[in-house]
Amino acid sequence: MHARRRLPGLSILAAALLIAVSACSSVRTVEPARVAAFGEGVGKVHTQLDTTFASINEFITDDEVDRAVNLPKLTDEDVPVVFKQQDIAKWDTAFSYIDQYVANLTLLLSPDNAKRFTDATEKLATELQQVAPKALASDKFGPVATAFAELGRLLIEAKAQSDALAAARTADPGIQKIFTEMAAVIGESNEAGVRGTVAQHWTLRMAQQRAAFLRAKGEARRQIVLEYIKLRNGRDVQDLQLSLLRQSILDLAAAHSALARGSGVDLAGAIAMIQQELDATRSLSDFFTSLKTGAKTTK
Amino acid sequence: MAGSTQATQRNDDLVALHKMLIDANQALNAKLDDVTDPDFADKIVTEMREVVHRIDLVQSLLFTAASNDIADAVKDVKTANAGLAASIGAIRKAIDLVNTLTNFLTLVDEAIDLAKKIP
Repeated sequence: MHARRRLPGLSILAAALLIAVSACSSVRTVEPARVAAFGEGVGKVHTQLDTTFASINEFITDDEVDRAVNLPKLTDEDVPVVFKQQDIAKWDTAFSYIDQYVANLTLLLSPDNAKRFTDATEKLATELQQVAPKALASDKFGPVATAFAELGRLLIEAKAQSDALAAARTADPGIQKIFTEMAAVIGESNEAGVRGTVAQHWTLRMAQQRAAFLRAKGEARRQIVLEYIKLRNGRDVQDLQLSLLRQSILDLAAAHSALARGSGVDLAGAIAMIQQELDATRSLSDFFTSLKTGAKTTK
Repeated sequence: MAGSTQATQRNDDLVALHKMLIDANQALNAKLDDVTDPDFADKIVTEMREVVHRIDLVQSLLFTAASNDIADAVKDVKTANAGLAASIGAIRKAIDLVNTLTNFLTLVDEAIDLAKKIP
């Protein structure tokens, strides 16, 4: 009887020890993987962004050329580019700052690197507060620039941290703001932001086909109908690409939040979503390219 | 507010202008549902091209600092826009459509020109 009564107590103690040991080992082995996973997520969204922006620019510039050829004179303003090279460069700069932040977090994964983390984070924080607002400021990127300055302020607080989880937790409000502002620039529907602008170009192209249909006869009408369907598919594909990009940016915010909470499951879920969205974006990009060739032929 | 520097915030006036232009483009597109004359349809498409060009321009100015001048100019556009969709729907002659859109886009251009001048 006596032995029976002591056994459960021993079991509980053993279980507690097991959890403690397991927790310790998970901090050492899982956390680097988590920081790396977040870093991979940043890289995937950056790739997704470049893929999406490249196809949009090419598409919109075509419409502006169609308008410009009918003008009495040509000015630079007559062929505006929605994403100028310098604007795309600002998105790249923003992602490189996030990469630096991830690299700094990685330093904290080894206790020997705490001093290096403090130095590197102080340097990054200063850059985000003093250089980033100027480097990122533009007509389309203003709120993102402000969010980076806020992250810089938070990193000053985080630099004294000696573990990656605590540092990520301190920086999290700044990271959330950055990704939220980036998502807002893309637009939450096809009537706002970049999505709204792009959708109107598709409407214009489809309208051109509708007007051409009135003048066409016989087989030509059939071609116009087919072209119209192709454009409608293109419109839906490109809006889906943009909405996936917006979602991936928000998933990146969720991934960082999970990292800061120490939730490996939520982090893995968010990164898996980003991978799916990147895969879908690549497929859509290929599909879009296949549509594009014929899209201009019957204008 | 004139001359204030809020370049890091979205300019609500220009966001509203962007939306009004999107609505105008949609109204023109809807007008094509009623039209069987190809010349009239071509005029509609030409006007849509002009509207979409302004959408591109405003898109690139969305984070321009707010100013009273822009707010006043956009207010004028709002007034002109109030009955624009209904007007487009009721128009029967291409020339009336062109005149209506020209008046609207002239006001839009004034707002855009003011926004461009803000550093």
